Amino acid sequence: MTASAVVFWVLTLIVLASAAVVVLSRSLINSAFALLATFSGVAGFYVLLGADFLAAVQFLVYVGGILILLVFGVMLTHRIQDLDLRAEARQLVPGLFVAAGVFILLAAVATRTPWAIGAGRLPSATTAEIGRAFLGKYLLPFEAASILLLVALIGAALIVRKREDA
Amino acid sequence: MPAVDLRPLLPALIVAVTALVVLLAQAFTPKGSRSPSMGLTVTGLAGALLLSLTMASDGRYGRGANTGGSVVADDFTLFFHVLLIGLALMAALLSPAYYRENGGDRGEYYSLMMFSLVGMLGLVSATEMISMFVALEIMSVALYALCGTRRDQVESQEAALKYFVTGAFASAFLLFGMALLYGLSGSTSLARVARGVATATPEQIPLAVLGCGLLIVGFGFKVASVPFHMWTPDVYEGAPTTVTALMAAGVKAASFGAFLRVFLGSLPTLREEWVPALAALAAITMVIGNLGALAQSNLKRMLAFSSVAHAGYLMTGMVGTTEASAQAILFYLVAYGAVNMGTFGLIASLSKGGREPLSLQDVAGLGARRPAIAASLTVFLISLTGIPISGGFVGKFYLFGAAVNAGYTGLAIIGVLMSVVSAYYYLRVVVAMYMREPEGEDVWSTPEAPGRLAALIAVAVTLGLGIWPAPVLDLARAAALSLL
Amino acid sequence: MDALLRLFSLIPGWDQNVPAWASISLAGLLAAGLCLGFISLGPVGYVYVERKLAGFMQDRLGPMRVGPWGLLQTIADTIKLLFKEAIFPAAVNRPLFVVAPCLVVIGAFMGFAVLPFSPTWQGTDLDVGAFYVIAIGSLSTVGLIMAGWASNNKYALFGAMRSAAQIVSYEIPAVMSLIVVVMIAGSLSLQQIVAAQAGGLHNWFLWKFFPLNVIAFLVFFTATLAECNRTPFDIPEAESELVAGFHTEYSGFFFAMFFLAEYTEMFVASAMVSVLFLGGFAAPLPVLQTVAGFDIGPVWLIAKAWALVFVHMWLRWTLPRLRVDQLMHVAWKVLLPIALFLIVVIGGLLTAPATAGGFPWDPWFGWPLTALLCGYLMLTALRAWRWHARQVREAVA
Repeated sequence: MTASAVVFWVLTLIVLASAAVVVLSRSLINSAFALLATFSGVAGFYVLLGADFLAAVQFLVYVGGILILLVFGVMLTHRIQDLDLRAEARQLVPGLFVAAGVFILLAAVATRTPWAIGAGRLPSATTAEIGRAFLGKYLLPFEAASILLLVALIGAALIVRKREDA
Repeated sequence: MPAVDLRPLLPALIVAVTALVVLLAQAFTPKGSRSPSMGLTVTGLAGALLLSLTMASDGRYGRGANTGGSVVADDFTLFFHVLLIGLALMAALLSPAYYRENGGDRGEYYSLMMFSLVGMLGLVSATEMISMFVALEIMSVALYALCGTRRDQVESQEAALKYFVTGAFASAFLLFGMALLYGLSGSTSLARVARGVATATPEQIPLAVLGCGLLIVGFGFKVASVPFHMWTPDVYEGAPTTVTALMAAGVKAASFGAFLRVFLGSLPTLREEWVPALAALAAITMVIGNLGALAQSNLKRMLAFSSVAHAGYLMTGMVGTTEASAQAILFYLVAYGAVNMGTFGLIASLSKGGREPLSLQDVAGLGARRPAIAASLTVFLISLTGIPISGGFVGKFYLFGAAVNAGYTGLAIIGVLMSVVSAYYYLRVVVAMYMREPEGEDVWSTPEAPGRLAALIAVAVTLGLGIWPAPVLDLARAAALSLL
Repeated sequence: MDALLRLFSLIPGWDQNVPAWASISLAGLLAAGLCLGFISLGPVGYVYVERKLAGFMQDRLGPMRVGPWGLLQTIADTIKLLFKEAIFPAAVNRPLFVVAPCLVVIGAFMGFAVLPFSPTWQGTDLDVGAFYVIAIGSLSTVGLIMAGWASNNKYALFGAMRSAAQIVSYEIPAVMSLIVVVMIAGSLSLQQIVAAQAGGLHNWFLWKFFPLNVIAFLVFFTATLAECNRTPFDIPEAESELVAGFHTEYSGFFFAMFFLAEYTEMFVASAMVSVLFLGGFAAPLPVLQTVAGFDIGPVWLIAKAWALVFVHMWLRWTLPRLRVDQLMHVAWKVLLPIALFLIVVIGGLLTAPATAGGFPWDPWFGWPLTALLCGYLMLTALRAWRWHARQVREAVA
């Protein structure tokens, strides 16, 4: 086994184990903090794939932004410690079957298909390429994403604003 | 750097700028006075509508133009632009009276409505999957927030949350499907995907089929087809009624637009695989939608199930995969959009002090008290049932015709039978309005002038499509031809 | 690390007998050990300087008892701190309580991996170095929140929330003003950013596009000050309201870790400011870059960073603390608009061929202004010192 394969499996283990904690933990705050390991593991995958910029973005956005906001939300929620989270699984067996079926289907297709792999190799410095793609070929969705964020911002502000007696 | 043709984006840009103007106008309105939100909104939307019509009239104004391979302004796009902007215009006309009765008429609502319209416009004009996905999210995120704007009602909060969770789930499926198709073709452009699928090796076919399947799940959520319809009744019931109108009419139209562009436009080579799946979905959607509607006593929930049922009728049309079926779907979307906007709009404009006429008791005797409203509602319900002289009849005729031509006669028969079933619950409302004695006082508002105008437009369109459908059918045909 | 690897190669037979992964790991461990030594011994010095400085500014003597001029005071304090019991209050969330200080230290420490001390003395020259430093800093934030939550103490929680809000807010103007530098240098690699400033003080980014970059420098420096939770942005641990903020419940070794992390962060932030605006390891005069044929880049970087650390301390004992709303006001309504304005203006200037390399008057401002500033500072310090000495004399008399 090569060194990168060892790293890959270690990362996989971290991601899967922490993701399991996220899903299964009864305490919301533990789930939130377990996400830290999941996000970091995914950043590790990106590093392994040579996508250094993406890894840094993953870390900055998910750990520095989303995770902190999430924990903030959890902490600001009233009496969250007393909350007994019991996600009722009323259709556990059919759900498991569907999930397993989808997984087998996806795994089978993913492993057997000859994927369309681009010619050539990765650019050693990905940042410049990503910048060119964002401001060139994908300029429109890139700019549209800013509208999406603006909409989310307005929507969130609208939902949480104090009721005024108009 | 080559010059980029921005003309296809112009209508959406006008709408987005108007949304920002409305937002700023609200921010700079002193406390106590009202911001001119509706006026600004209607002006902006009318401008965008005029522009779209101008573009559609002549190639010189941008018909057929293409922005960087991401967005195209073909006949199909422009047909949807006119339809969607028209629907949003009606929703804007209906909004001020409704929001004043339901907790504050604020600029943010109009702004979010217009942003959601921007998403819809992008969705129908995108020819590249990332743009399409971003547009879909703009549309959806704006609507998630709009659903939760009736702060005093727990149903509204529930609707927002439910719509958000299921919507995010659906988006994930859609994105997964797009990723698989990207993996197959190495490009996010729909044209390249089409080429990639057409030239796929036999080992690659399972990947393409799986991608299609995930896309069907994603779009199925958005158009509310069974078994991805669970959110529909609760969300339609909880959302503010004008938003429900926009959701039922606009989102369905825009989602079908993207659905058609992806499946009929880009994946016709896989039709042996996806047509049977779609036919099966259409059949159960029609059955469950109509049977579900039978059991409802709340008008908004009934209309929600009716919206599910209509997703089934529309998918019935899609199994044809020819330009005739696309034409039928486009025509029906116009008829259905006008009717939904009208029905929900009338309910909204009758609302008073946070209550709306939602039960059969509430509408009992409306024929005697409010003859004009009762007559309009009757026209809409007749069209939903699919009785002649209404747009719904012509639309269903073409939809089922397309299914029969494609060899799915059984599906068409199910559709007709289910339309007969639907007559029971639609006409029940008509019977209550005209044949039952009114109960209690008349507590409802009188619709204001903008609301009346919107209802009038809806009635005119519904009857016009029923009596003289040819012009719209021709336009729909041209649009369908530009797609295929 | 490259330098270490080259050193290994000098050992006869090393390259043939030791596999590449082993020598890379060994070099990494050694480099990390070097940095660790540097950061864990550093605070001993910082704390002494800070306390002496505080004494000076407040007209006191500061530590005087242990050793000559109190020089051994911080060493004694460190030993005391390390041997103290680490108390776990009954209601803490034990695993998180232990992990939190580790995360904070890791977040602060990992910044060292890319700090360029010289063209060869650097952990690794990442293509996204500047971005990496910002990204890895988020780990500390998570650690702070975790500490606040795990302590099960309202003051700790308040402190953690405030600090997270503050760091997240100030990250934005920091990154925005960083973009100005990245645009000018055309790279995110710290090595290339420094290389773009080589050739003397007038080439430092601080004096490019005079006076626009000075503003960017001030924005970035203010933001880093806030990200280190230093006064005037120290509301997360405002002792008059929150006891000690997020580390209220920590004692002994765990407290020492927070302490270590705070000073490390200060150093890393100051080193980043030096790299981005003050030429990093580049000497103000190219002649001063080498002494006896030996590259003294590390000395320059550390000197610049320490000078900025000194400014941190100076501000701490001079300025009052901001209120939380003022804090947010500064971040979102003052620094962020300024930074956005700078991005647009400098971006525009860079695309215009006439100003792509800076304004024509750039070379003329750096030297005189630096000299003026240093002279003024020295003069002030001298006057303050003489005033202080007079006070002491009078007090003794």
